[in-house]
Amino acid sequence: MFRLTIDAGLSVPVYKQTAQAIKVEILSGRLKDGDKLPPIRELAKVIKLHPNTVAKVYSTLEEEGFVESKIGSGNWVKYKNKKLDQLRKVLVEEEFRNFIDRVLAVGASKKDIKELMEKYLNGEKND
Amino acid sequence: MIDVKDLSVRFGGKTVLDAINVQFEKGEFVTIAGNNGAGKTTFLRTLMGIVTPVKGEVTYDTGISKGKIGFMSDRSGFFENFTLKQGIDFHSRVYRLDQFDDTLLRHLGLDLKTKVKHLSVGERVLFLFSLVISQKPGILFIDEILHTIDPYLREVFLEHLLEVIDRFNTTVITVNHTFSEIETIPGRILVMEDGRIILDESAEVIKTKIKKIESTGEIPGDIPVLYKKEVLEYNEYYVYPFSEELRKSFDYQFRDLTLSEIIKSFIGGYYVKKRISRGS
Amino acid sequence: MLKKEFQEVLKQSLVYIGLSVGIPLVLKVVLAKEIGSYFEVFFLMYQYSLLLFSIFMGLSLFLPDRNQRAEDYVYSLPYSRLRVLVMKVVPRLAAVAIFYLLFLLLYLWGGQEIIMRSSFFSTSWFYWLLFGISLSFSASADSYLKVGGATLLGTLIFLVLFTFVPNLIIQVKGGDLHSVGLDVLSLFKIDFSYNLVPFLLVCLCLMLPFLISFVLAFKKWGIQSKENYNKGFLKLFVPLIAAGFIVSTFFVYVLRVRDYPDYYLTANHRLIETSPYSTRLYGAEGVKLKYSKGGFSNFFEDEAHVYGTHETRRSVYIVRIDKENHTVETMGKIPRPKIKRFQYEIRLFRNFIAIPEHFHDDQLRAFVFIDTRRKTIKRMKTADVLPPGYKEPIIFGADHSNGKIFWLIHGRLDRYPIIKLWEDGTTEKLGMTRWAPKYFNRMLFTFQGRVMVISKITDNGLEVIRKIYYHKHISLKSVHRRINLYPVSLKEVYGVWWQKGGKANYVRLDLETFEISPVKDIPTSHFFLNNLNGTIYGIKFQYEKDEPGFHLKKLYRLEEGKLHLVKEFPEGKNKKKSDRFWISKGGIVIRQNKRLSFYSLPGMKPLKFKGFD
Repeated sequence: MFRLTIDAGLSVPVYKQTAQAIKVEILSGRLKDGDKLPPIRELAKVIKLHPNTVAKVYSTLEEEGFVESKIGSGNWVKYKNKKLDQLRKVLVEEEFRNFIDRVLAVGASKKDIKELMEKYLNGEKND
Repeated sequence: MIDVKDLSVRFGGKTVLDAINVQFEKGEFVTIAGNNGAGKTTFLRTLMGIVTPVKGEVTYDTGISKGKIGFMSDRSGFFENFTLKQGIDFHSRVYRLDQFDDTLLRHLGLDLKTKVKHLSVGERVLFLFSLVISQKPGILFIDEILHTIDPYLREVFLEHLLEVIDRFNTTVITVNHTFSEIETIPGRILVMEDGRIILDESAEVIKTKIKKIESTGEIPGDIPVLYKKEVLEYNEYYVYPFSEELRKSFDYQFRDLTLSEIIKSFIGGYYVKKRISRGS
Repeated sequence: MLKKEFQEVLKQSLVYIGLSVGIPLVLKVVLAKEIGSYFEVFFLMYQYSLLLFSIFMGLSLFLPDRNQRAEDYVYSLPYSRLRVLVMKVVPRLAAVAIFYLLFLLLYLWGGQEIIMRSSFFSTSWFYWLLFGISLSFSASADSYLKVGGATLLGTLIFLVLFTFVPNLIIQVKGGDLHSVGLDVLSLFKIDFSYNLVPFLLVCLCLMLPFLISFVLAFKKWGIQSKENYNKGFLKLFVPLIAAGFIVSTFFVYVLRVRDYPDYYLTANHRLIETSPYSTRLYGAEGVKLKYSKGGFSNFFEDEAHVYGTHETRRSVYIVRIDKENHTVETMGKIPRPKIKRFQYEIRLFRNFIAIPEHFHDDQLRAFVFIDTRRKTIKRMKTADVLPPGYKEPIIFGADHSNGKIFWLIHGRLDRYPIIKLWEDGTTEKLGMTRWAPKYFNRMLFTFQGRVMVISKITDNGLEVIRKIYYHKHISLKSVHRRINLYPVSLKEVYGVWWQKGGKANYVRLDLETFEISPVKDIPTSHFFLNNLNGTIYGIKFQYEKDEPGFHLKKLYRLEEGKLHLVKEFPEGKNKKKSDRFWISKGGIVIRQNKRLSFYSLPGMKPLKFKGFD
């Protein structure tokens, strides 16, 4: 299964955070097209959410086109490349923005950021 | 589903519940919080019918039989001299249960011949819980039991509770002090103070209505403060009611809060009020 | 849940039974012979512990749940409060009933020899009383001590009200506990001809407030506030018990025994009507006197007054009514004997009234002499004046000598010793007689074997005037109302001797010639003689066991050994239990079919009184 971290301190509603996290899983490829998502009851028990909340998560995902709900058998991942690429772009930018904000809040300068960026990205390449 | 009208409870001369009006819908998960002595437990027990009101009434929708209502409390006893088996038989007889699912008890490794008085607190809570869920309850009242059981059992309890909720679309009304494990579950929060409900809001909405400012100095009086706390060299201000205009008008960082923090600030505000009224 | 309650009660009952059986067993083994049979010890133990059992059953409705900390659970169950109450009461009621039945059976089956009937009934009464009251207080507190205390208080209230109900009626209306049907002490001796209805009604009226308040207050019972509950309980209890008190007083008032009145016709033709609650005097024109404190009885008359006694719970008052002025005066009072009613033992001689004062166990304690002229009372202890061992002393005569009065008293040993008691308390022995002595015409009649000895009483003792021999002992009929000891001269006196087989033979003793002659044609049954104003009347009456009432049939005059019919009374058509007749100096009063008729004596003239037409 996958790990979902929900920040209870955020005022973003829990169901949105959860849906977002699942979207991240799908976008990252960890959840593939055709994978079966856990039943509502099981997911609720694992991440300690009200089953209604989980149901809302799945219906939100279905509305946004990530998930297909088949009556009697559960929820399945639906993977549409194009859309995802667009979404991926938006998500990446969002995560990046959050990251920059956080580093700036610690007191890093733009120069520090660039240097560190180089270091860590190159480091990854070298692996 | 449950309609509470003008409910008042008095113990002797003391008013414990003061003309409470509230409704609960099917499938809701409501948590009631507040300072010690606010009347939360009494409220729950009055809803259940254990305490009788001096005025007002609690009305349940027709179609809800009392057999489908479960009640659990940290002070709930059970017949101490009964064995678990006797307790199960008793409960089954009263609630006309066809069978009793003892998986939970087996999970705990409990021998049905043990007497209730020989159970540990956690075991007792889970025993009562297993009795209550065997009723296939449509409504559950749970009073402050989470803090009495160990973390492992807490998780067991929560998992079973969520399963029950999913299976029977149970309406759950809890009284809670500790929030960490169930932060993400309640849909609605009620805060009580002096026998009255001072806050009744969905969990989503309340998070948007209360924020925290950390500041070393005083903050402008225009910002509505529920509660102020001095932490080391700076102050925490809990702002309520918060609106997005405040973020635009004032150059402070309004931080989001967890439910625990929100409730703590409401209770803190209560104690501040009390101190002021006592003149200290 | 009913099952659980039954199990609890069963456990408690077994403990009780175990103790009741076991402790006497232990005692018996340890003390062996000194304490009686096992059954005796067991039965007594069972009787007393029964009361504790009933209280415990009543009190233990809610405390076991509380002590097991299961109250929240019990009241969260899908039962209404009333149903919970019923489920708790039924097993306990059953246990209480069964153990009572056992008590009853044990009593009938041997307990009768061990305890008195009154003890059985009082235990039964308290048993159910305590159960009901303890039940009513079972929800009012959290510990056995407190609810027990409340029960005791409640029981006290019940008992106080229970005694107050009849006393209120008696204060207002006169009478006594017996007439209002609530003489509890005699109730507990229970004679089943006694009317238990007032008793049961009062118990019910005073008991129901407890139970009703309990049930209604419990319906609103919530855990955690005993204060609320007790307030609710009192709000119901106070008005209910007040109502119960009023209603029970009303019932007792309505049901009080209203005997039909008794009557006495005075020599000057005044009618005295007396009932347990009041006495009235009527003249021809109507009521002349009303005395509402109670009824008089034991009438005795002299020229100016009618004397009578009036009893309260503790005393007997000697009163007199002035025949002309119709006023009532109290002459004196003595403690009321608990057993005997003072029918024929008061004596009047000249201006003295002599009354024997009885102990509660019927022993004569003293003579009380009331001087009606000087209005003084003198009390002489029998221990001081009578020789020891005088059984059943009776004043049978009186006379005077040298201006001082003396009384003639006989007792019973194996014969009848006679003494003379002077008004100053000194006594003189006058010997013995084989049979009861009499005193007429200032002559003492004593008996030795078949000889009748007639003597005069002088200051030096007895002086025999005559000895008469007869083949059988003659029992002389006093024929006066024994109450008045006239020194009047009689011409004749009548007596009876008994034939073998019980047949009575009347004789006449001429008091001038001392000749005894047989008297014929005197009816032997339902017949008595009465001397009124010097004339001896014979009264033939009718009384049948299955026919109601006493009826006057014929009135005769007995003169010189012959019965002369004065009047024959027709048989009434509707005979009632209340039919009776009274004969006194003034005349005859007859009540037949609830109607009254009056005749004067000696003329047998019909009399009329306004209010009795």
